[in-house]
Amino acid sequence: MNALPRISYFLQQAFRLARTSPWLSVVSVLTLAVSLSLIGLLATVLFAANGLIDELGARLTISVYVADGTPKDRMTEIETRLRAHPGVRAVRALSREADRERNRKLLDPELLAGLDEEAIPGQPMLELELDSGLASRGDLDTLIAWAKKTREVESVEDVEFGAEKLRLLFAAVEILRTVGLVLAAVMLASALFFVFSTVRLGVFSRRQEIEVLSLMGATPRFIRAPFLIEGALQGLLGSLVAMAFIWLLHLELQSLVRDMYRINMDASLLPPSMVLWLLVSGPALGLLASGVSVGRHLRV
Amino acid sequence: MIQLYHVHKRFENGAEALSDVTLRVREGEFVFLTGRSGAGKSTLLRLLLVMERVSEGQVLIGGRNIHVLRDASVPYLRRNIGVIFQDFRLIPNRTVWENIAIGMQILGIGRKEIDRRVGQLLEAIGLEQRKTALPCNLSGGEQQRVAIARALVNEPAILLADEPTGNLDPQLSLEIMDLLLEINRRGTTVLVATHNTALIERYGLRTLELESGRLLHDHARRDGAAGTRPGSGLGSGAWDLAAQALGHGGAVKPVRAPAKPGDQRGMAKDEATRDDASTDDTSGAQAGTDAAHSGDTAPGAAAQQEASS
Repeated sequence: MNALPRISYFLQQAFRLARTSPWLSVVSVLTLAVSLSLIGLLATVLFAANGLIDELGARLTISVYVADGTPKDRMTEIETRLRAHPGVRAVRALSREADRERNRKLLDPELLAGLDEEAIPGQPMLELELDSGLASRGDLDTLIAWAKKTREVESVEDVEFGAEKLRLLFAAVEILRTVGLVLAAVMLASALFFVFSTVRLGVFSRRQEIEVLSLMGATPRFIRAPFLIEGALQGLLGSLVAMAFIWLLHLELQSLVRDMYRINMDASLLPPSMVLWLLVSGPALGLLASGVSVGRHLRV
Repeated sequence: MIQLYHVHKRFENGAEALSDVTLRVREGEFVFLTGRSGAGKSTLLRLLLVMERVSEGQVLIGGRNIHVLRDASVPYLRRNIGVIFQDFRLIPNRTVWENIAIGMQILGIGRKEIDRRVGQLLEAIGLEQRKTALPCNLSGGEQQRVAIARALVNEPAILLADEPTGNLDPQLSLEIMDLLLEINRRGTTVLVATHNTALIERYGLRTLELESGRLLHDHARRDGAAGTRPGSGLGSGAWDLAAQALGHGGAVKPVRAPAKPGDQRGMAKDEATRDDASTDDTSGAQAGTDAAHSGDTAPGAAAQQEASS
């Protein structure tokens, strides 16, 4: 006597249960697959977007343009004031000539050909380097407010930095996160509901069988096991379908990128972390839904 | 084997299904439980199966007070009690073979052993050719024979039957009764709840009569009546096979020696097993068997005296 005959019995009964309401089982598996894919893809996109924001944040600089002819001691005064602001890592002062030289390097030589030296823009300025990593949109807003205030300082003509683009990216990520999470939560709730209902139907259709098993000395655990396995199997199937779906999506995107940009996409939509997420979360969610259903509807 | 002391059973609506019932069924006895509908027969059987708990009094099976049995221990007690119903209660989507095998599957017994024992039982009940049939394709008599085989597959010490012939015609009823008597002759204690007075008259066995929840009469067994006495001989060859299948080796199941006074070995083992119930159902079943077989000192001795008289 060992566990093997029991496991074989449980599996046999779990497959039999799945046949009780095949369409509901299929719907459970598909909704689980869609919600798992959605959560997985959402996590991937959000992870990539956060990486991009971090990178942009680390490279972020603020250019404070000072009026031509500002005395040196006034310039030093402004520099000291900016340096004292929290989050400012370094301040570099550039003369009009140095700024013009930098602009010259940035512009296309063809564009500059035959152009008068004075026509190339150049203005005394202070270039601020910021501490890396803008933790949240709130930090960025504080930074923008401070830049606006700096613009009002005497002798300061303009303040420029790529905050607006970064702000847009923040907003896009936030919208994506909110919509994605709501969508994923709805899909996940539906998937769990379908698994819950499939198991409930199984319990109801087998009331007599459950009573007989109980009277013959089956423990509650023995009676419940096939129902729980059914839920876990639905979850596993959902994971496999989700994996197949994401893999197909990856192949499709890969060929699209290759055709449009003539480059090979090196990032995979199905990295090991995604495979692990799907393989663990699917059966776990299936087990959770069936566990709740069995707990509520199976009294032994 | 079965003892009830001043048992009362009241339901939540205040109705009293059993009222001050005291009785004793000895090991190896065949007893009819009779009375009109609503007299309390089924309630009494439900108490023995711990499907209901007593409101007052005590119920002992194999010397063990099942009133105080924890819920987790109930399955192990039930493994030692076979049960047959009027409506057979076969599982409709399982074949004859699967219906009989369930009891062994619960114990985690291997396929080879199940095949052997179920095969022999099927031969004994004459349904070896129908082992793949679903219950809906069997006659009433065949279904009840399958139900009996299912109840016997784990060699229970007690067999409870609730109106086992209620859905059968008179001829089939006699056939099923003969089967139950044969099982009893092999040592299994049989308690049959029925309101079929013709059957009771015909067999002349000990009869407990209930009325409105009270034990009205305890009619003694008629002299020369069938069944009950261990050692009264074997039936047909098919039943020899059944006996082998049940592990009795084709011989009459001997009356078990009474346990030593104070010997609670089986119960102690069962208590120990209950804590371990989550890991080994089988050991619990064995413990249940031990408990039922060892605990009933006085009735066991009485049965032996009766057998030898």
